[in-house]
Amino acid sequence: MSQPTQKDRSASLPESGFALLRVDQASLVVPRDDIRILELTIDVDRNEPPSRGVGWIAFGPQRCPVYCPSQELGWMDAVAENRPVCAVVASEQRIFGLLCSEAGLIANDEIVFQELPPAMATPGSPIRRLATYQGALACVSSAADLLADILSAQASDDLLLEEAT
Amino acid sequence: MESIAWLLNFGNGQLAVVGRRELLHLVPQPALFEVPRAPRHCSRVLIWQDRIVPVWDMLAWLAPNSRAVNASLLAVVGYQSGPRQVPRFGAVLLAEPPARVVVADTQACELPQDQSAWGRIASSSFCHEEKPIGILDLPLMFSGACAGKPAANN
Repeated sequence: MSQPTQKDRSASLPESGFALLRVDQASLVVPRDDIRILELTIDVDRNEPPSRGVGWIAFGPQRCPVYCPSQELGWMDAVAENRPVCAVVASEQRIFGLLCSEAGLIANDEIVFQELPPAMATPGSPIRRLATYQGALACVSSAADLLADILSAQASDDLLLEEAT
Repeated sequence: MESIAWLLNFGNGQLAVVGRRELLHLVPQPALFEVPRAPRHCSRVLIWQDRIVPVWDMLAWLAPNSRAVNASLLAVVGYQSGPRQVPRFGAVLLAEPPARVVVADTQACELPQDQSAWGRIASSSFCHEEKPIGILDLPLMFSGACAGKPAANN
């Protein structure tokens, strides 16, 4: 693994910067532009949640699915403790909510990116890179990567259901 | 011909060596960070000299269903994937500080066939105190060739 360089840093920075979503002890970094709004988890409608989700949140005229990631980035079917914030994020494909412990914007000069070590890469993982932020580790992803992971988990569930019936 | 190497003890009687120049730093009681969705044998990182260094848990590699061990000692290792390639870094969890050993060509031996997990990450092996010991292939271990493929048995 090479030492982080200024090139790594500049190549990885969208102009708008990044946002940090904390999920228990894990820190997830996504492009700031992916965040639409921060809502409160108490405003999530938990009736008839989507597959791998925990409920729905209103965003303008839309009703968007809400998902609760675990610290290990699994998709839980119940709202975990200490998830007071619902970050409404958008990929090109869909707008959806992510429950997290806290969420905030981070300055570009406070974060240093590094490639995900090859030994840690697994197929389908939504984590694209790693980073250091305030002396700790952060995992870099995006709304699109997280949505792809959710859809993949839902597809696996559907397949299992088909096999069982 | 003889070479100096470092004997690494991973616990549970599991030993291997790395080259004299490959062992860079010992870190007692390291602060490690979990990376979600990473392979269990390499699911943690160390922030070392402003780098994010992957940490290899040999006991998890050898016995994928074993319980995770607390990290009390860690060795930072350096390697190159080829001549004139940039140095790269990794780390391995240890049960005790490394010991210096001298390895002679005459000690070369084969790893037993039932130790396939060692065979996948050892470039060669030698006989030490009547036991075959693997010489770790660090570029292979940290290359990703082993990612997502935990050892089936040891």
